[in-house]
Amino acid sequence: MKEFILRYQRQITLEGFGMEAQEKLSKAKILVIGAGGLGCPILQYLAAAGIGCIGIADEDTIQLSNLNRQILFGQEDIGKYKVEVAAAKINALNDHIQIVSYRERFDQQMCIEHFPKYDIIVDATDNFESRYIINDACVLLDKPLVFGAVSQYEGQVAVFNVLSNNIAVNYRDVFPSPPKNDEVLNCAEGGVLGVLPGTIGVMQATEVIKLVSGVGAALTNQMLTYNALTNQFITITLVKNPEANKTSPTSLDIFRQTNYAYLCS
Amino acid sequence: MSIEIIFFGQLADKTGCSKVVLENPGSIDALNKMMKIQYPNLATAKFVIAVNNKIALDNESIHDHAKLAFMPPFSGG
Repeated sequence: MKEFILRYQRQITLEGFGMEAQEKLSKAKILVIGAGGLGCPILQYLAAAGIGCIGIADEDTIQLSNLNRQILFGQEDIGKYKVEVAAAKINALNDHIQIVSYRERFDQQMCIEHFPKYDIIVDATDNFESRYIINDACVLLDKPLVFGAVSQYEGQVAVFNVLSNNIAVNYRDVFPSPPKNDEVLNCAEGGVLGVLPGTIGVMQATEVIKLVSGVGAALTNQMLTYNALTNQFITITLVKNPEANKTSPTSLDIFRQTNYAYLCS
Repeated sequence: MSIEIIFFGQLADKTGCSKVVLENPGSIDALNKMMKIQYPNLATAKFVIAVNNKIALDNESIHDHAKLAFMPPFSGG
């Protein structure tokens, strides 16, 4: 207990936060999907803040080209699995929390199997296929989703599937169907400024902490866009989109049978 | 009367500008049609339109002096 108070003293001392909010963090179970540019700062700050149980999912190994933004990894880690290095790094930061690693892609079955164990899902992936699978699973399994995405010098953050003023907006309300390959750039083609996923990932971690602790106002039914070149922050209010009803899977059976790889190609 | 449009992400590359001021076409539907003629590259782009910081659906009207944002989906992480 003494160590708990010492470790989180700067948060416990915060007016409006205190021991009550800190204890909520230590009871929270958060799943972070993707341990890349967004996932690294998210994992680091959630572990440091004292989130009780953190799930980490990623099937990739560390490449040299990851190191400009994936700050949990060093040169000696190249070739190792991201989940393994990330878990060891955040365990070294805080060994009072539980860490669960998933060295595989979250397809429909993985979402259905593992989402019920967590309070909040964090989308830190790097492709539309995963993003639509995670969004649809959160809607069907009724899980709050903290969304973050980047492209070149800009990023987006949103909190989906949390009821506020009687509506709960999700990613399909913003973009009812995935773009085709020629409609957007991916990170490998378009590039990304290394610090940008740091900014966006830290904002996602902040939203998780606010949702869990109940402190402040989360980005519920809103999407924030940040432009690193112009220092512009714009927050857009989202609305329910009737188009989303036509494109969203309406049951877990339909979800299981949906070919997301085809929809996103 | 005019409206102002800001383009986010790749949409600024597709239109060749980050901001444009133009005559109010009156509705989102009409704006979409007009923009795709003026900026043919937008025809192959996916985006959502916000009017005065709120997402607008296709049949909505646009008031004079409105500030609009064209926002694309981002996938990177």
